[in-house]
Amino acid sequence: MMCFGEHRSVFMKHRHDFSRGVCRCGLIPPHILESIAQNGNEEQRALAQQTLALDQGIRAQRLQVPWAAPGMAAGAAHRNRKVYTASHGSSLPGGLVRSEGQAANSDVSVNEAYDGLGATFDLYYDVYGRNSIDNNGLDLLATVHYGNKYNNAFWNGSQMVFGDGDGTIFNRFTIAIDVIGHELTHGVTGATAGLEYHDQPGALNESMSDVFGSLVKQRSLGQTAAQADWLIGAGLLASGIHGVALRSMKAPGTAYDDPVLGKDPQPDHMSRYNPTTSDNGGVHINSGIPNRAFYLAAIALGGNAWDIAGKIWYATLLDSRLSKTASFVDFASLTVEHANNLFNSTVQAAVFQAWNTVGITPALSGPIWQYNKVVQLCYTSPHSMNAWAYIQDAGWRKVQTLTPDGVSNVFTLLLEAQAGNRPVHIYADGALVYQSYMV
Amino acid sequence: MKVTLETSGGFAALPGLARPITIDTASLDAKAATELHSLIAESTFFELPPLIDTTQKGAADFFTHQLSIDDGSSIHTVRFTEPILNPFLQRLLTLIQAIIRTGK
Repeated sequence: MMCFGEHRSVFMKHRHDFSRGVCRCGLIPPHILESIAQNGNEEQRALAQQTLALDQGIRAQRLQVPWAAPGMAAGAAHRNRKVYTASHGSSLPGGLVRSEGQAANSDVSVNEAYDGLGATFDLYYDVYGRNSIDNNGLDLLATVHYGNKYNNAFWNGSQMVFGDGDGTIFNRFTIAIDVIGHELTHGVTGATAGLEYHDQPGALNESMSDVFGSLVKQRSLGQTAAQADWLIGAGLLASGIHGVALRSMKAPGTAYDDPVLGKDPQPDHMSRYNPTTSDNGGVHINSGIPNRAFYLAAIALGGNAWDIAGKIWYATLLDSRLSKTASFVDFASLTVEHANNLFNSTVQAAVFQAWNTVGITPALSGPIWQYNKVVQLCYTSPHSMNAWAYIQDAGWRKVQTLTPDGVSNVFTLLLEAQAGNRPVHIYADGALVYQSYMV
Repeated sequence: MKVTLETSGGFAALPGLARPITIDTASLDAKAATELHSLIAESTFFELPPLIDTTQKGAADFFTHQLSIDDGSSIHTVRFTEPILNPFLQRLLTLIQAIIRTGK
C-alpha cells in the first residue's frame, strides 16, 4: 500500500486522512498508477512503478494458479478428430471419411469440419489448458451432410452434426468456423457447468457457445478484440438474404432484417429480455444480452479477447458454484470475482461495467472500483455523521463511517463532484462507498 | 384435414422460419393429399403421445417441431424434438416440409 505526498495532483483529487501521522489510503487502481508512472513527478513515478511491478508480480503468481498445469492431470494433449458423412441420411455418426492426421480430401465440408475441430481443440488446450471436451482427450466427432438440404447444425449430446443448408436461405453449416466452435462448446458446457437448456441458464449455455465459437474464429484469424467482427455465422446466409450473419455479439439485433427470415430478435439489454416460450424460452434470443457483456468486457480490456476476458469466462464456466439453473446475474457475479482473482481490480472494474451496461448489476462479495460515475444526489443526516450519495449505475451508497478518509472528506468530494458535474471513481460495494477520487 | 407445423429452435433460430404454417389437404393436388392421408394413418399420429423428447443430456441447437392435425372430428398435437427416432413420424415430417416448400 502506498500514497503520494501531494493532496491534489494534476491527475486526480484525493483527500487523504493523515490523522494518525501516516496516510492510510491504499488500493490505487492500476490504471491510475500507470498514468502516474508516466506523468507524475520523479518521486511519484518511482513509487508508482514499484507498486505496478509488485502488482504485476502478484498478477503473474495468480495467473500461474489455474493455468500452470492445464489439464496435465488428464494426460498429454489428445487431439483425435473423426469426421463422418451421413450421406444425406440421418444415421449417426455415419461413415468415417477423415481421421486425425489424414490429408484433406475433395469434400470441402469434411475439410472445414476437420480444420474447425482442430482450431477449437487448440484454443481450449493452448489457452485454457483443456484437453478436449471432457478434459480427458475425448475424441472429437463431427458428421457432415446430415439430412437433405438440412438447415441446421446441432450438438446431439455426444457429437457435432452439420447440414448442407438448402442453398436458398442457408449455405453449408461448416462454412463458418465459429459454428464449429459453438457446437463443440456445447460439449464443454455439458461436461462442466451443465447449464440447463431453457430460459436464462439456456441462454447462458448458448452465450458460452457463441463466446468461445467467436474466440476460435478470432484466434484462427489472429484478430484482436478491436479487429474482430464479433459475428456468429458470417457467410452462412445464402446470397440474396438481407443479413450479414445470424447473430452479432457487438450489436445484438442487427445481424439480419429480411422479408422471409424476419428481423434479428436479439435484445442488447436486460430491459428488452424476451419472455417467449418458443426456442426453449428464447435461448438463442436472450443470449444477446450476455454476448454483448462479453464483447464490452473484451473491448475494454483490449488485446486478444481470448487472453483476459476468455479466461475469466472459462473460469466461471468451471466454477462449481455456477449451478445448472444459473441466471444471468449469478453468472455475472462470478465473472466479477474471477476477474479480480485471476487478474486485478482494473480488470474487475471493466467486467463489472460491461455487465452494468447491459442492465445487469453483479452482486459483489466485497468493494470494487467503479470508474467515471456521475454523482447524481448527495444527502447527509442533520448531525452530519451519516452521509449518502446517489451514484450513476450504483444507486444509493452510504459513506462508510470508518473510511480512512473520514466521512466529511469523502462526502465533501462527492458534493463537489455533483456541483461541478465531474465524474468520480468510487471504491464501493453493494451498500457502502469506502473511497472516492474526482476525475 | 388441416395440418399445422411449427418448427422452432435450431442453431439459427430464425423468427421468420418459426411461424406456424397450415396446409389444408383439400387444396393439395390429389397425389400429395393421398400420400399425406396415408402417412398420417400409418404413423398412428392420433395415438402418439403429446411430447416425444429424444434429446440426450447436454444436447443443444436441435429443432423442436409442433405438429397439429385437425381431421374435422378431433385435433391432436404432438411436440417432438430431433433426432426423430420414429421412422413414420420422420417420413410424415419430410413430406409436410416438402409440401410447404413446393406449395403443392
